[in-house]
Amino acid sequence: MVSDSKGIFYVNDPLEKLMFEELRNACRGGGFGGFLPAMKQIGNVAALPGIVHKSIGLPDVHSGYGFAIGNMAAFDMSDPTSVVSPGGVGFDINCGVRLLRTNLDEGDVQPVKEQLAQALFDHIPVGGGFQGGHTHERQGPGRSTGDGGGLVPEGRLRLGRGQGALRGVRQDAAGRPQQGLFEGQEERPAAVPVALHGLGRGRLTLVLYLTQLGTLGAGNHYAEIQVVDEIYNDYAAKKMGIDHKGQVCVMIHSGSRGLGHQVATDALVAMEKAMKRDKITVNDRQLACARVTSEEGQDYLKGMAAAGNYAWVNRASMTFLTRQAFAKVFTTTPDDLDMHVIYDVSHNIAKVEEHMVDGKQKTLLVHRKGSTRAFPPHHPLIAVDYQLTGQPVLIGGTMGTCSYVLTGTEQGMTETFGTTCHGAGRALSRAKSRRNLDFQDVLDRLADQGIAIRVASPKLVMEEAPESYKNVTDVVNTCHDAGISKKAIKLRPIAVIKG
Amino acid sequence: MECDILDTLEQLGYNGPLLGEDFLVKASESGLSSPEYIHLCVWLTSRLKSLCHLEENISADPGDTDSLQLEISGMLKELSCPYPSLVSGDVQGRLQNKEDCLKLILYLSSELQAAQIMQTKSQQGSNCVAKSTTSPDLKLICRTLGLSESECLDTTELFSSIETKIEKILEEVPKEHIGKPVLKSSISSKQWAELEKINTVLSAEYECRRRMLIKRLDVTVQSFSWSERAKEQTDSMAKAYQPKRHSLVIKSSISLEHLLAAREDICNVVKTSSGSSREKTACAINKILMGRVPDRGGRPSEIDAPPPEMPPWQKRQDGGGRGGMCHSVAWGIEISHWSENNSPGQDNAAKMWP
Repeated sequence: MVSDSKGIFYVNDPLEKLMFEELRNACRGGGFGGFLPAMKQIGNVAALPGIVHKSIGLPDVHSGYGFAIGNMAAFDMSDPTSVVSPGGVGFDINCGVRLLRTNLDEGDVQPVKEQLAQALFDHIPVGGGFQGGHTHERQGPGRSTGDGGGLVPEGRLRLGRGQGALRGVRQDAAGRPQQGLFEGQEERPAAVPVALHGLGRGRLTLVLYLTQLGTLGAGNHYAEIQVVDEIYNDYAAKKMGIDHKGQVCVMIHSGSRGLGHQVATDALVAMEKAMKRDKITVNDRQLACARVTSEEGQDYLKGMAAAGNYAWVNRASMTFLTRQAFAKVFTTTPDDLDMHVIYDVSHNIAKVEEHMVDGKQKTLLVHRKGSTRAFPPHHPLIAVDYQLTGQPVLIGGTMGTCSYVLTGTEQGMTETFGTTCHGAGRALSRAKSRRNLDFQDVLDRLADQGIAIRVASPKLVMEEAPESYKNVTDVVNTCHDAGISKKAIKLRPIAVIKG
Repeated sequence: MECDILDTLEQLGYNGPLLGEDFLVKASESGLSSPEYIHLCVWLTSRLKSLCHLEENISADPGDTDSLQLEISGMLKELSCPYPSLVSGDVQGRLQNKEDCLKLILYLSSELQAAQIMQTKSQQGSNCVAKSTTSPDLKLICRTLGLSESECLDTTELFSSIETKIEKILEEVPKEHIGKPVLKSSISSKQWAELEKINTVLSAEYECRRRMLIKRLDVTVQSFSWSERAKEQTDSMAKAYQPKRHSLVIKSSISLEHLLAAREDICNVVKTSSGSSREKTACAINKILMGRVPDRGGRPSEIDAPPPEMPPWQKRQDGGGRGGMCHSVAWGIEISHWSENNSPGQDNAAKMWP
């Protein structure tokens, strides 16, 4: 299959240097994590069957599994050879960022910053795996909910869809007497996944991952208390409920936890077979894909949608927990703190969208991996509140660096199918960060900047240090100057919690 | 009977408090001691009076039951009411039970309906303003302003009477009641036509967006009916949702009249976090407070630095190293993976390096 599509990427000078350095290292036999350099990956994606327009690298692009992280590629749905690729979405399906506003000012929060960071850390379970990374002994009735079930600390409040759904699934499972496995196990949902083995993978997966709902996870996921540092677009900021510098916001960055990973790995296995059957050839084995219309392709899209919904609910659950933490520290109700969601963006997803290609309207499957949708003003698919400003795009920085809110533009719609960057983007591999950076140095620097931190696993301190990432300001300015999105607000962190 | 009455009242354009079945029954039980009931009677008779040119009138205070009874009785006599229970017996003993009270409303409202039908018919026969397509609007204006509609005026007369009436009303309302119009310049008919065209295009656009939003709403509501428990409640869900859904129309109702009617208050931008917009987002879950949560630690002072990392992998230098040289590249790649992943138990491999 020959494709005449091209690969392009957006950079400024410092980012360009990083890109070519990565390529040079790879040619010398370096590189990391078994991935090709991002530049080659962008090119390989441009050669996939059914791709329209270009394979586009955003300024924060770096190598990932198959597709580079920070890559957008769109496939024509009307072309029967078009493909969907799990690598083009990423393993953490619907990993994304949510921003909450408050009516608090920096002055209200600074004196209680440490308490707030602690309250957030206590309310939102963090860390990888099913244990949620808890550093305390879970006791009492809370234990009966299983795992890192953040929604039920000490079993006092039974609430949230996750718990309800878990109970529902449990009852449903208990209602299958022919299995005869559940006697005396009603209060131990953790046993259900084991007992459910063989009842069908879908149900097993569901039950297993419900226990992770409302947990932050590890890696680059975080919850951060931020203050408005700069307002570039007054009108857009006002529409988002941001009216002055120093206003306090909370940013939550998390995804679909284990469920997304499960969906992606299952699909990759199935698609390898489908590729042989349909004789699809790709330049890199990691670019496993299947025709959109094939059973494997449709299965993946459904699984992806489910994992995507899971991630929304996960961030919604953490929104609830964040409101709780604030309400307790300020002894008021979340309502009175005006803690409303400004927006929630996904930066690992494939979506069916309508776009203009060579003057014709076409239905495309737009893969956005490590890149964010950024629709322009008046687009029918963005909320009424943001019809005149364009879609808010939330760009999470790293521990200790700024975050941004951008808005989508008409130029971005035509150039990149309404896509822009997603964050800083890694510059050093995790292992390299751990070797090159000193634990105490990073913590000291954060303390100097006045940023409170709570972290469950110490190695994340180095892995997630600002030095491990590209400069988020470079990334955002490149997007701004290229016109694919415009700066609206700059946020500066004052407290962060990590897995 | 109650349902018939409610339907009739709705058709007559009544929008007072007794439009609900419960309220109507309750007011009828109280009869003349209920102010709402009396208000409804007055509403009906005043319209009947102007349509049928009646002499009688109901104008007594709601508290004055005796006078009310007399006035109602007089009016019913003038209308030659056929219900014996309403027009015979002791005047003060009438309208003492719910049935009679409801009967009165039913009678008055059906009389009013009949009078309105007669009115329209007579107008269709005549050839004054009422013939044109704008007549329903003019009639509506007259009704709203309380002007008599029955008279057959010519156009100029009608409009001048409307104007004087409006001016009179405007004098009575508080000064800031009606703001300044947004559209201040006068517009030529060519411009009006252009505006009409723009509005058609925009309406089509809004229609498309409304269609999408309504579809989204339908799908969202549908998603709640997925579970087994909800399946049993399909009927009650439909009962709660359908009436509300029914009131959502896809077609945009915005016309050029709205442009003329727009006042400066539409130019005020409502603050996103203002009290009024927050009222709409208030919900029960935002008022819930959880119990105490345990301390989960995580303070940087409490955690220790992780153990030091292995040195980075380097390519074997030419000429160096011990045996197994021919496998160096293959080894190298594998070792590099191990050290990247920091998996335990690889120390020996690392020590092999020169």
